[in-house]
Order: sequence, then structure tokens, then C-alpha cells
Amino acid sequence: MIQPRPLTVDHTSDRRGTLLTLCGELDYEATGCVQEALRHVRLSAGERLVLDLSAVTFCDSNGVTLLVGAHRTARAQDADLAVTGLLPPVAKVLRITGLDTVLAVYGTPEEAFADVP
Amino acid sequence: MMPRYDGGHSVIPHGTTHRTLSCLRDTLMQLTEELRLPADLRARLLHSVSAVAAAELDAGRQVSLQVAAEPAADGGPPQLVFHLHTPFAPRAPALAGLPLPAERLGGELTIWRVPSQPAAAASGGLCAQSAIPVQAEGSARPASVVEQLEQELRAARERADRLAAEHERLSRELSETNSGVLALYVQLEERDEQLRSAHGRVLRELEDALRPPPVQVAGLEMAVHYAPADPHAPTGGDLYDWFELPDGTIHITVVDALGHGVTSTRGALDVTHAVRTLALEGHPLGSIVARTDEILLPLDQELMSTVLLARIDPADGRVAVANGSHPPPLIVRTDGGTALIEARGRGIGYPLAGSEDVLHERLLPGDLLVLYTDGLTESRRDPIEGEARLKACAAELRHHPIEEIPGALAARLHTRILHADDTVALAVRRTDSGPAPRRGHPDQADRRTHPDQGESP
Repeated sequence: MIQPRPLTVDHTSDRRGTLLTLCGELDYEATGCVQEALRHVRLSAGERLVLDLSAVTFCDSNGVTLLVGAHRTARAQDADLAVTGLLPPVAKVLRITGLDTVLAVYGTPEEAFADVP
Repeated sequence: MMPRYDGGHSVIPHGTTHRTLSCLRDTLMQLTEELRLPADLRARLLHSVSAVAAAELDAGRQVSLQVAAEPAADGGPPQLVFHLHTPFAPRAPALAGLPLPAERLGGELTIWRVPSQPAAAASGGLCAQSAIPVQAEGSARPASVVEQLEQELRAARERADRLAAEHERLSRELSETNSGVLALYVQLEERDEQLRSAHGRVLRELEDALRPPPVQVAGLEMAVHYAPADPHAPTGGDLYDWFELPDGTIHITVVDALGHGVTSTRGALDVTHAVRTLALEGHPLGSIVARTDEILLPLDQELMSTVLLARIDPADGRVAVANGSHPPPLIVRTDGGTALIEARGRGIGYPLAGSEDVLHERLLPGDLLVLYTDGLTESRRDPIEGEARLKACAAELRHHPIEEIPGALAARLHTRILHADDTVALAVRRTDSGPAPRRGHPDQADRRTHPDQGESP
């Protein structure tokens, strides 16, 4: 059993947008960390905010709220949000909440940036 | 004969040297009689001096006794100071446990200080006494040894009686105090209990107001289990509602508003009430989630809530489900088969809020419909495993009395909680005694004896 560990966020800029690499569990404890990272995201119109979730093992309703917050952050800057590398539990939550039809979902950040609309 | 020690005192009115204990005791008794020491004090002094001197005298080494008057440090009546000099003792005598505590001045000198007695001072005091050996003076005949011992015994007995009486009084006071404290505790405990029960009653009434009891309708039986994540908060963000629509169908709402505790209850209440109003107004099931979002979001930009809507027709078991981001309800057939009703859609406050479609199912007599919040399936932080365990547990419990099923589901799925969350579990079973089919079958009573129905409760 993997012990719950605090989520970390790595922030990198791409010429086509911003990549946030999340690692850990996307739950209530992750809220402050993710919100802080989102506050520093600066996007130009038409760019993409990509959240790489390939190292996120769990996402509850608080995590879903954070994803919706990221979606709003991107939309407020005329950009869009993509998520990448969904593990089965996270994919399950996105399907239940219907977010998989709102967010662009890709295998890797490279694919997500290559497909910027 | 006079010891070297003068202790800084100008007058040394008594000084004797002794080789035997009896001699020392006689001298002391005579001295203390003349100095009018009270019997109790006299006995204590005699015992103490004898105890310190005994080892020396037994060993054949002589000791000296001196008595001096010394002004009290605080300006009160002068003190009498008894000095016992043991110049040949190989080591300083032990002073612990003496009936009259002593002080040691150097290795050879032990002293006892006692208050001088007014009677002695009035008759001229120590300074007026002649030097060694002490002689009885005045008209008063000195008390005999037996008389002195009787005085001491009487003093000791009086003291013992006094102490016994005091002890009894204190014991009685202590016991009265204890029983008073005990009564106070009982009183406080009773008041606490009254407050607790009043508090609990208010909370239960509040909870009842928030969570309606199961709808009583022929053809369906229903039960619910509700547990907030925080046992000290009466409600959380999970809430449900169920009521009968004018057309006789039963409407059920389950919501999970963001956050925990009573503050998230407000969002959950807003959603259930908006849904109830829209449903009673006759809005189509598929439009209610989106419409609720449109109504509520202008009031509360922060509101985020999943919402699941189910409609059940008690007459024929038809079920319609609309959804906004909520975990899918589960159908458990009488044979143990399970199926999730996975209507797609997004909840209140989500992007593109609204149910994408309305899914239809049909409950046969004995079939169960289980609605729940993610607190039921995510206690082990794995929604996939949680859903599988829910199916298995619900199938096992399908023939249990309806009132037992929601609580038993929560108990079985929460055997190990890694993730505490509000939990709602709600079960509806279609019974085989529904309202008369609208087409009209005269044989409804016979259906109970049909072999296929034998397993139904």
C-alpha cells in the first residue's frame, strides 16, 4: 500500500503554454499547493495550460474542484486546459464527474502541446 | 569543672558533669521542676537529653549539662537553652527522631531551646538560681519522681485525648466535605446530561428538518444511512431529498456539495430545494441540473455540487436517472446481478453544467436501487475498487430488510477508512405489492404465492 504523500507541483513554461506537473494525491491537502501554482500561471490567448497527472494516484471531489479551478484559470486568459497521463483511478473520477468531455485529455504533455488548437 | 564553652553568653547559671544516666536524669528533673517546664515539654526534653547522652554514659565517658537563659531573637520572652556537652564522643551523636528536636553546635555540643516559663521568670528566673548543685528553694516542696511522672502521664493522656478529639472532628469535616463534593459532582453530571440531551434533541430535530423521512408509498420501500465525516458536525455537504410528485412517481435527489461540515450544508440545501421546486413545477428531468446551475450560480459563484436525480414509478418500477458529476446509482437484481446506471453530465458550478441524457431502467419486484455519495466508495482511496466492493456487498445484502441495507453497506465498505468523507447510502426496493396496475389485474393477491416470488421478503 502506497502511503498518501503530499502533492508537489512543478511549474515549467513552454512556448505554447504552461506545464504543471503534479505528483501525489489530488485531495483536500493538495488544495493550497495547487491554488498557489495556478495563481502564478500567465497564459496568452490561444495558449494551453497542461496539467500532467501521470504521477497523481488519487483524485477526490476536492481534486475535481482544483481541476475545475484550473479550467477557469485557463479560460479567464482565453486559453484552454488539457490533462495528460491519467491513471485509472483518476480517469474514473473524470468520467464520473463528466469532466472528461470538458477538458482535453492526452497521453503525454508533448501530445497536448503538439495539438494546441 | 566548668566547660570551656561559654556560647557567647555572659551568664552560665547551671553546669554539672555526669557519669551515669540516672544522675543526669535526676538533675534534669530537678532543674525542669524548678524552671516550671510543663510536664509534656519536660518529658520530651528528658527523653531527648537521655537519648543523646545514653551512649556516652554507657561507654563510661562523662557528659556535662549546662543551662543558660538567652534573649529571644524576636524580642519576646527569653529562651532557656539546654547544652549537652559530649567532649569524649568518638563521633557526633545522632539527633534524628528526638521527641524534642535538637541543634548541633560543633561536634561536641548539642542544644535544645525551650521557652522560659512565666512562673519561673516571676520567681527570679534562672539567673537567680544558685550554682551547682541545684537546690530546691522557697516554701514549695519539690515534686517527687512519681508525682513528676504522673504529671507527665496526665499531660500525655490529655494531649492524646485532645488529638483524638481533633482527629475525629477533622474526619467528620472531611467526610462532610467529601459528600458535599460528591453531591456537587452528581448535580453537575445531571446538568451535563440535561444539556447533552437537549443539545442532541435540537440536532436531531434540525437533522430531521434537513433530511426528510422515507416516503410511504405502496410498491416501494426505502431506507437511508447518513453519516457526516465529522462526527461532531450534525451535517456535511452530502444531502438527499425524496418526495412524491403529483403524477405519483417518486423523485429522489442526492447531492454532494463541496467542502465539509455545516457550512457546506448550505450549498447542499440550496441545490436540493432548487431541484425540488423545479421538479414540482414539472420541469423535465433532463433539464433540472442545468436549470439549477443557472438559478444558483449567480447567487454563489463558489458553489460546486454534484447532483443525482432519480424518478421511480411505484406502479411499474420504471426508473429514470439524470446526473451531474455524481457517482452512478446501482441496480441489484433479485438474482444478484448488478448494473450501474451511468448517466453522464456535470454538476452545479461545473463547466457545462447539466445532465447530458436521461437513462431509463426498470425495477422488477424485489430489485434494489442503491444511491450513494462518493464517501461510500472512496474510503480506501480507490474508486474502482470501491465500486466493485459496493456491487459485491449490495448483492450479498439484497434480501435483507430494507432498513438494514444502507447502514450495513456503509459498515462493510468502511471496514478500513483511509479517507473520511460524508457518506449517504440510500436503498429503494420495489415490492410485489405495488399499487394496482393501471391496466387492472384482478389477481394481485395471488402473486405472493407465485413460486418465482418466493425469495422476495
